[in-house]
Amino acid sequence: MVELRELPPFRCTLLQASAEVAATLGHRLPAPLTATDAMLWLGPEEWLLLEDVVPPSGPASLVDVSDRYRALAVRGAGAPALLNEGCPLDLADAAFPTGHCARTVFGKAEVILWRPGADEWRILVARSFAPYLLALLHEALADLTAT
Amino acid sequence: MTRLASGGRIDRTRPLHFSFDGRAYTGYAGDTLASALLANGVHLVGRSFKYHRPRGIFSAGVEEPNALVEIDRGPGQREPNVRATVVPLVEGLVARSQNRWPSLRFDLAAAAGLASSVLGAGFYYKTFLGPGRDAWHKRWEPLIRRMAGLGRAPEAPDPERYANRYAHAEVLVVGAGPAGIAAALRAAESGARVVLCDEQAEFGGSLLAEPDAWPQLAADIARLRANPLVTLLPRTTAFSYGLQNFVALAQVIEAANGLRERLWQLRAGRVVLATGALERPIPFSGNDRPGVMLADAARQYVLRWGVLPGRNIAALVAHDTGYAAAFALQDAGAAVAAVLEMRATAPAALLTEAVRRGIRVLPNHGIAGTRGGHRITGLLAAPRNGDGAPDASRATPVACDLLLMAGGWTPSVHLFSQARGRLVWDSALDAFLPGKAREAVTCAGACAGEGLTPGLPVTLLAAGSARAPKAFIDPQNDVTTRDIALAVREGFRSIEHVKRYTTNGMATDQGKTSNMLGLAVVAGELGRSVPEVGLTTFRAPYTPTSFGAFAGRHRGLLFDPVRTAPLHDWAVGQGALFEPVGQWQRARAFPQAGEDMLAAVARECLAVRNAVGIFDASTLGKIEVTGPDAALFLERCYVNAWQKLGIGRCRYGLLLREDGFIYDDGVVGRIAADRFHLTTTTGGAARVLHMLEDYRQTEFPELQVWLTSTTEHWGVIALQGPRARDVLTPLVEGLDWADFPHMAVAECRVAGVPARLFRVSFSGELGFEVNVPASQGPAVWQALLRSGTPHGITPYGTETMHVLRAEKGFIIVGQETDGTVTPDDAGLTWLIGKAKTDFIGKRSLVRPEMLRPDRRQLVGLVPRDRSTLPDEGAQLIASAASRVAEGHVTSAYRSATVGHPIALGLLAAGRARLGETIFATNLSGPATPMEVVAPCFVDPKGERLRG
Repeated sequence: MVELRELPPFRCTLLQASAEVAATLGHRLPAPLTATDAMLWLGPEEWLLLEDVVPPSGPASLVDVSDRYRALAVRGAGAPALLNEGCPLDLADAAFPTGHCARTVFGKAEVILWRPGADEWRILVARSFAPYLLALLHEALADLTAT
Repeated sequence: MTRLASGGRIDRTRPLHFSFDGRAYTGYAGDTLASALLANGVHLVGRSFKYHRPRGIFSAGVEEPNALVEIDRGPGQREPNVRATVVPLVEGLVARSQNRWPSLRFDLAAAAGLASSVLGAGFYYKTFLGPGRDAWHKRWEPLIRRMAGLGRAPEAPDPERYANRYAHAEVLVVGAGPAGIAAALRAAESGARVVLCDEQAEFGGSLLAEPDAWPQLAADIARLRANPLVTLLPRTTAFSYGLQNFVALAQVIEAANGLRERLWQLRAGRVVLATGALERPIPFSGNDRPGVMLADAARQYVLRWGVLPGRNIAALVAHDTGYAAAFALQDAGAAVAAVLEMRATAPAALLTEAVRRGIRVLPNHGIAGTRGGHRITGLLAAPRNGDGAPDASRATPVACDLLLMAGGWTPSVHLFSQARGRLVWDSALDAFLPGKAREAVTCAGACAGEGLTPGLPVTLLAAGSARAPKAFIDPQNDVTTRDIALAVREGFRSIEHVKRYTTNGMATDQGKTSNMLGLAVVAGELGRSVPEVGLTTFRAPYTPTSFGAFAGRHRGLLFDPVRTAPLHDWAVGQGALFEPVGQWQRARAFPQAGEDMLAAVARECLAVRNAVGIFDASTLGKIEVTGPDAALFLERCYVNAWQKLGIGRCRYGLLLREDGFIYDDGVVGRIAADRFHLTTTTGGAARVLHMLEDYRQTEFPELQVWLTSTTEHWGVIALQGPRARDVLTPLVEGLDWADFPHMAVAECRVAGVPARLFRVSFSGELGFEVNVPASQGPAVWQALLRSGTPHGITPYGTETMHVLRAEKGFIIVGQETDGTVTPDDAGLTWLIGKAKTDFIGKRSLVRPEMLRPDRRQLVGLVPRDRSTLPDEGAQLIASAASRVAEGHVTSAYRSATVGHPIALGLLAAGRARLGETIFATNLSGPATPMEVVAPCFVDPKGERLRG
């Protein structure tokens, strides 16, 4: 079974800085292609902070992007089958283990996908694409449940 | 009935009812439509494409060229050209024959011989290009249109759904015959993810016609099914093999909930192709009659489906497997009238067995002709001459109701070839086999030639057939050996040309049974070998694939993302008219009761000019530019000077490409020394970010600057009009109004929400743009509406926004510009920082072509009659009779403020031609005289926006 729901709004900040400067935040920096509870690695020298932060010491860019995204949760052992309806990545344990994080696409929408738990998945999608993504996911979910 | 009392894999306890051409029949679970029709004695199932010849069931699989029927599952679910041999029988199936009128048994076109006399090889080319072109339009085309074409396309929308699945596997096995199942079992043992697909509903391939193998087959499939790492996909065709083992599979599901098919886009570590081999038919006169069937297909009908397709059979044999088929039918109760062995002698062991069975074998024989209308009734057995042709003068008639053709085997190398693997001719096996691979792919089983034995070489199979009448090699496209020979005589040498000229192998079966025969005939006519003639290209899809599978869920509202801004729902509630702007849906106008759009726009425009309007500008692209070098970075990219822009001030920025032409524009506000709020056009948001990011990373890596898209973070509400400040003042906290002139920006609170407030104007009126977090947009909008009610606040849409800015002569990138407009052309030279040594595009601006005085320049245009609205895009010509375009109209609107239509245009040397008359072309009448004026119609001194 797969469960799909939208998560309530949350605060997030985009951080761009060298790893040395980012380290002054006091958080453990997630390795490339991974996420912690507090930070998602989005690219070289680029992280999404999920908690309020004080500015790091040193040159850095901090931009509040809390309203840029809407967040979805997908839960269940069948989640990869649902996500692979529109996401071309290999979501098997070996290729996308717990803690993994990736910028990818679902259908024609760009998304950030990460896996906080074995059967827990999160999707961030730009606000204006959310209705499209939700409609696509719900249609796919209905077919997944039926077949 | 020709159903056997026992045997086969059908379930005789589960009868299924179906209809064909309106007649009711019964089959069993496990049947295909073809096996069920044969079980009911139905051989005639269609009429051929060109000649409307009666056609029967030719094969038992995907290669079927003849038995193409229409399956009708209801409105929008009527599918033409379905091969009856691959349709699993289901209760209530409705099938119809195609290409016949008035009925399948009596087709008028065939009776009159309308087509066969004129539609020879190259007919279309000759008719199109020859002196008979008039005849084509007047006579032939109408006739052909009525006669030709297979099937009817459905008219109603398809109510079913099509899914998509991306998948990864260490091993993909295509084909679940013995080789494929063995490969899947081996791969699964290693702990790899394995996908095994097969086009048929049942796994087993050739084993499905080997009853002795069934217990082991069931055990093997059960083992695979029990392995969680193995995905079994029946009714799934691997139809396209792309780069890096990217294979597309079309899976037929037909679930009760309306899910019809699923497209799998699968990336495999290794692909095992176990696609088997297809039996070759044999060219001879009258080989297309119903009842002429591939020998192994007949054997499968007996052993897999318990159907005896003929009671008195004959066989034309060029390969040993033909005997197995004849023996199987005899074992099932058929009489064998004769086996015509095309080779000089039959293999001794098979001959002995045939003699033991009392079967007459005629060596070195061919067929000089067949008889029968809707089904074969007999043939002329004739000894073969030295050239291979049957000698009609020595022929003897043989009565039969089924004729088997055993022409040998062609390995199915389609997918291997699609994967750019080299095919090599194996002269011993007389077949093209997989050679050097370019992908991580292995071929196993018959498609690799394993287990195959040679029969009569295909050139000898076709020898002597090139002069025989009605010897079909591509029955679906009605191509005969004579057509091929004619093409060669007319000078075609390349097999690719012969294919296109004759259409051999170009039907929906893509030549699965006809390509090798076509090659053989060409080789014979040219006196070359088959590999010297070459091979036509194998292209995807391997078998016909529905458009639905490709479209997936991307139809209707999901065809493309529909992006909506934070105030979208409110606008819908107001009954707004919308227009697409890229993927965005934007409110175009807010007509009130009784208003059309023109009236609404006129009212909205006057409200902004005279009171105040409110507008959702959230779709504007927004980029936060941060870092100590942010100003320097902008300085290097945009034409403007940025370093001296004060904190809390804005500037209208212009971005060029390297070629000097305008790429994008937008207001940029300085929030802090190291922080800019940059806006782009709605359509340019993504490409500007990409361009700036490209320069940041590749050209200016030494700069400490970062870019963050905030387009979706900020909701933007524009307030424009002389009363705008009155609306805003009561809601704003933390702003020093005394230091907030035109082109200022400040962080403050609006309606209690943290905001970035811009004082900017795209209307020429006093204006503000309120940026608030997108989720707060609706609440702030409502607060502004309430505050604005006493001031006559009026929501307006994009059309009014366009009119207002055109009245001021403000350009829209993409409307006034088209990628060939310089800053000077647009009258924007004043934006360029005079002291700047460089910016993107600067050097291009001094090329001679860019400095020509006759470049097209932005001007205003007013109709001389003050009433005719020119078309946007209309060419500008010097006189009503001129044919020389000197520019074009870029924007044109009816202006309620000005009181007559206004337009903007690009006109050669336009700024020097103010006061002249120029003509705007008009598609529906004489050109419109226009007065050339300065491109500003309202408040040219700009006093209102500073008010």
